[in-house]
Amino acid sequence: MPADTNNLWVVIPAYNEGKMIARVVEDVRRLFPNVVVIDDASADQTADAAKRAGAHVLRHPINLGQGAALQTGFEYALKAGATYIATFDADGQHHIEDVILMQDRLTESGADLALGSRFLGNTVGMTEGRRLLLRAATLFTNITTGLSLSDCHNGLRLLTARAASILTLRQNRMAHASEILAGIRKHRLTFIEVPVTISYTEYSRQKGQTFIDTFVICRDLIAAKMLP
Amino acid sequence: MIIQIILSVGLSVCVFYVVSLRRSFSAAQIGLLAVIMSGYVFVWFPNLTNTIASLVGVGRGADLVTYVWIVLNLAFILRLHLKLREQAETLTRLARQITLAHSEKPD
Repeated sequence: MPADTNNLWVVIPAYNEGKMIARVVEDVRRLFPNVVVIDDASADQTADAAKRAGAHVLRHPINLGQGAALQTGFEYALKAGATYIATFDADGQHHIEDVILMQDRLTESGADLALGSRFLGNTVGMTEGRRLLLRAATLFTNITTGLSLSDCHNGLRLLTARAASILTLRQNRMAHASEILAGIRKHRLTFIEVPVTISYTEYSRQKGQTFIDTFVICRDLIAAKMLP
Repeated sequence: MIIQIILSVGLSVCVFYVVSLRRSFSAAQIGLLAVIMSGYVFVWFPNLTNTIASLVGVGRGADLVTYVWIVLNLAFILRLHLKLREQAETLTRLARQITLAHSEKPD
């Protein structure tokens, strides 16, 4: 039996993705009708382009960051009655076909989350520097969260409604990726890793994280530990 | 004598500020008051700093005061950073409610 695609919501945080977002939304909607784009106060036409392409649109009044945008999307999708929520990048590096596989595997396994792994799957056009950076980040995250993952900074995930409502993201910026993993550990959620393909393009490389961002992520994680 | 009066007035303003922060005293406030009180002592008995400096292995009292000042400042910056983060979280929740109240369905 093919999985039901109507109860799955695809959440796409977007910041200044006006050139790419329509193509991404149309591509996702070939397979999943429910798409919500969170425009994180872009300066360009991201929100309008996404809406024309058939997405639900949430506009942050001020720029809050990718983590905050995901949390806004989670709350919207949960209210809309989603059973599954996928997190998907706006820069076109993910393939929506992978979400079908993730949904199948998640349903089969009965786990709370399916995490995409490019190191179990494929990458197209990844630079050696990026591979090293990601490997180091994965090692660091595995040590700090006590989980054992092959790829921990992958924006492609599939969550059950239960997992999305338990994981309340407080990390507004990039550290949300680690926060999700820490949350898995803290709330004893179960997860599976699913091989996915990431396609690096000139465009996605420009939008991607840099070496310096690693320091920002570490700082945010330490600061969060000191807050109540 | 003149500088000691000026510094004492400055420290008194600090005491007033710290006391006005809250009605019930927190550990941070008591700590701040302790720092200010030692400020009074060192302003009026500057040689004391030399005694303490040689006790802990620092050359001059003035150097010791500088080092302690730097450490205290770093602690203040950290506290400020955490306060700002708390405010950012509140702001995020507010912005999120506004966003969700104005959601747009596809045409």
